[in-house]
Amino acid sequence: MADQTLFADEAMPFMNQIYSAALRMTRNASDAEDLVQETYLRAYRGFGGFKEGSNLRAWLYRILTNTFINQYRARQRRPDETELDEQEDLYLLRRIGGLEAVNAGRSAEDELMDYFTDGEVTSALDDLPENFRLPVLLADVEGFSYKEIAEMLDVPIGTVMSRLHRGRKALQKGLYDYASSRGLSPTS
Amino acid sequence: MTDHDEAHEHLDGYCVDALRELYLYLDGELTVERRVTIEVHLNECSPCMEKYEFEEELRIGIRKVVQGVEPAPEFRGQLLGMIDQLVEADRQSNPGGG
Repeated sequence: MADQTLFADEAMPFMNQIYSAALRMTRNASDAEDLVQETYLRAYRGFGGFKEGSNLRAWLYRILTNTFINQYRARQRRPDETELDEQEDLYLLRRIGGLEAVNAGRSAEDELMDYFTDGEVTSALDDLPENFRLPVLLADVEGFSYKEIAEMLDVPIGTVMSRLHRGRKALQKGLYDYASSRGLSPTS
Repeated sequence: MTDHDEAHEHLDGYCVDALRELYLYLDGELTVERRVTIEVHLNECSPCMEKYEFEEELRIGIRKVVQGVEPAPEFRGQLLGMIDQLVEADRQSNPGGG
C-alpha cells in the first residue's frame, strides 16, 4: 500500500514527461493540461492500490493512456482508427542517408535532425492516426516494452508490433514530405 | 537503387538477420544472445551499422523534440494545488485515519 500523503512527492517528478506525452496525444496544450489533471486525480485516488517498489512511471502512463482513450476518444464521433498505406522499409535513410553522407564528418543525431524543424517533427507525429500514434509515442519516445504498451492499450503484443511497424514508416514518410516540401535543406 | 543499397553490396545472411531485427534491437526486445550476435556483426559490417545508427539517431532526435516541451509555468502550481485539496478533503472526511 502506498501512502497517499506521499503522492505529490513521488508522482510530481514525472509531470513534465507526462505533460509532453499528453500534448502529443491530445495535440493541443489546453486539452493536454486537462488530461494531465485528470490523470493525476485518478492516480491520487488509486494510489492506495499502487504496489510500492513497482514501476510508478509505467503505472502513471497506464492511467494517462486509459484516461486519454476513454475520455477523448468518446468525444470523437468516429474513432481515429484509420489504416495506413504500407511504406518502404528505411524510408528516410534511403532518401536522405546519401545527402547526410555528403556532409561527412558530423554524424551525431544533430546533423540528421538539422533536416527537420521541431514543428515538422511534432506535425509528422500529430498526423499519424491515433491507433498508430500512441504505440509509436509509447515505444520510441517513452521507451516502454511491447508488453507494457500492449497492457496500456489493451491490445495483443502482435498488434503493437504491427502498428509500430507501419506507424514508424508513415512517420518517416511524413518527415520526409515536410522537409522535401521546403527543399530538404538542413534547417541550421 | 540508392547509393545506400549499392554500398551494401556484400549483403549476406547476417545482414538480412540484422536488418530484420533492427527495431527489435532498438526496442530492447531481443535476448542477450541475439543482441551480442548482432553487435558482433555490426562491428564488422559498416553498411548495417550505418542503418542502425541512422534509425537510433532519428529516434533520439524525435524524443528530444517531444520531451523538450514544457507545460505553462503556472500549471505545476495548479496541479499541486489540486493534490493539496484532495489530501485536505481526505483528512477532513477521515480525521483520525491515515
